[in-house]
Amino acid sequence: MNKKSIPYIFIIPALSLITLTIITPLILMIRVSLLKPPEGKGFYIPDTFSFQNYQSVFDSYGISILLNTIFFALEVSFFSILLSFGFAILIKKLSNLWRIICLICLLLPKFINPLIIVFGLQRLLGNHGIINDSLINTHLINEPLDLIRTHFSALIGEIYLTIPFTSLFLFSQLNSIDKEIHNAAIGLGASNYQVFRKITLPLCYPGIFIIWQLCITWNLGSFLGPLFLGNPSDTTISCEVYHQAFEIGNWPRAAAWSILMTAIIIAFLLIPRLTISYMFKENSK
Amino acid sequence: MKKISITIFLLSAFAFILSPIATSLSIAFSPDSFLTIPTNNWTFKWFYEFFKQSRWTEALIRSLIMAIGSTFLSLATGTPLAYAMTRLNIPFKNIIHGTILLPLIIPPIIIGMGALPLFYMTRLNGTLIQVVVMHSCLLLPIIYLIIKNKMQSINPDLEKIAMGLGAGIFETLWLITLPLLFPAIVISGICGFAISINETMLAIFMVGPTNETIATLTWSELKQAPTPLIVVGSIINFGAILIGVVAIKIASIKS
Repeated sequence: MNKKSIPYIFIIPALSLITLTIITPLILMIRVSLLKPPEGKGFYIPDTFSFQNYQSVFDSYGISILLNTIFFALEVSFFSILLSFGFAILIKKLSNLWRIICLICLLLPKFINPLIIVFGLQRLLGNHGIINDSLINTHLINEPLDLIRTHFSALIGEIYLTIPFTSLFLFSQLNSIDKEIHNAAIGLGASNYQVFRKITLPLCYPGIFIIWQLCITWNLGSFLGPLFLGNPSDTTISCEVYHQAFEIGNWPRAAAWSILMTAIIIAFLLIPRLTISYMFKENSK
Repeated sequence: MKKISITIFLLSAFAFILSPIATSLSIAFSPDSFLTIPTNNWTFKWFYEFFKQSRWTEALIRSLIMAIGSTFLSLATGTPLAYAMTRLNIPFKNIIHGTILLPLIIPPIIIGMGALPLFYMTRLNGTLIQVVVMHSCLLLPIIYLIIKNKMQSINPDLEKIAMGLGAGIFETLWLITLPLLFPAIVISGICGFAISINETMLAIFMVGPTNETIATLTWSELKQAPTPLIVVGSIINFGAILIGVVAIKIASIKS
């Protein structure tokens, strides 16, 4: 066997798997998105060419879904990073045993089907759910509160699905900060708040930036929360893709939406990164 | 005083995080399909029901086959890749690294939508092979990252010594590198199994009506009329993960 070909033997299986499952479908999807939508039969009309799917993606309904998705992703990532930063700081203060227990509790939702979390939330927040029932039983309210099928419940659902990742990541980020810096600041007379504001937070900025980007990319694809817990006006692109592909059977439209979504995600990944590297270049001059 | 406030904060935080799971779990053990709190009747009725219905037990077997198959496929492709990326000279390393991480970034719905026409054209749609292949692509980046991380902490001199003593590259891999990598392979395999068995969004695109797994049955029940059986299914999946962990632990102690 030729010695030069050895590295390629190691990488070819994985690369062919990725090519088969990600890259070919993406290219195929561009072609499918340019086909004409079906007229009652099949999933598309083969051997046609038109831009009408992209036109229908950018009509007024399409644009409202688009803005909704981006706004929803920003909201979820903001709240989940805020909450999990709090968790990370609290967990860091605990003794070792309790820290491990807390981390296991955080990880547990990831070993359970996310649908079960959604189901639990439905039973918790529903009109005859636990919260409403117990409030009515204690005569605090007379009518059940509208908790489910609102923007709030969709938000809560998605936060539940995101928080384990963000808090673990921020926890490891906080843990990697050198303890001596903290001690030095305290020794020089800084208060706890000052240490947090002037030392801990600035050292966490790079980590927060990375996790913010990951959060955005995950939640641009948020699906379960808006579909099961949100009201119809909270539809996101993922719900629309599912709706078009399965319930209507209009594959070209679904493919057009998917292409648009991939473009948005790549933009959200690249633009902040490029801006920051450009800013640092300006500074170092 | 400060310690008490921290404890109260943490307790409420974890009550918040665990409340949906706790609600679901208590539904699985309560006699009615609706839970009324407080209740004193706890039964295992839904577990008997689960094993009585053939569509759930068949789905369980299919889920296990799917998860084990996709874990092995992604381990078989991911381990050599992680080795090559840390030790060998490969052109365009950055581009390959980015390509492998794509499944982490692109939402599963879009991966599923893209693969739908592909499998439709190859007439493989609705078979279990399709799910196994798609899930292993989803697991590949995670397994690759874990094993690559471990690979970087192994001393490369050990391999060089073995090769200097006359072993070929494959002999070195089999006798030196793989045994050292084994813990990372086991951990990433467990992670992969857990992700694959619980993954829903790709599975609903890939699984036909004849090949339902637990996740897709849960999905279709949740869309129409959910029964406590969906929670039982999830508990049994979780049990399968735990059995795997314990079995590997015992095997490692014995050896």
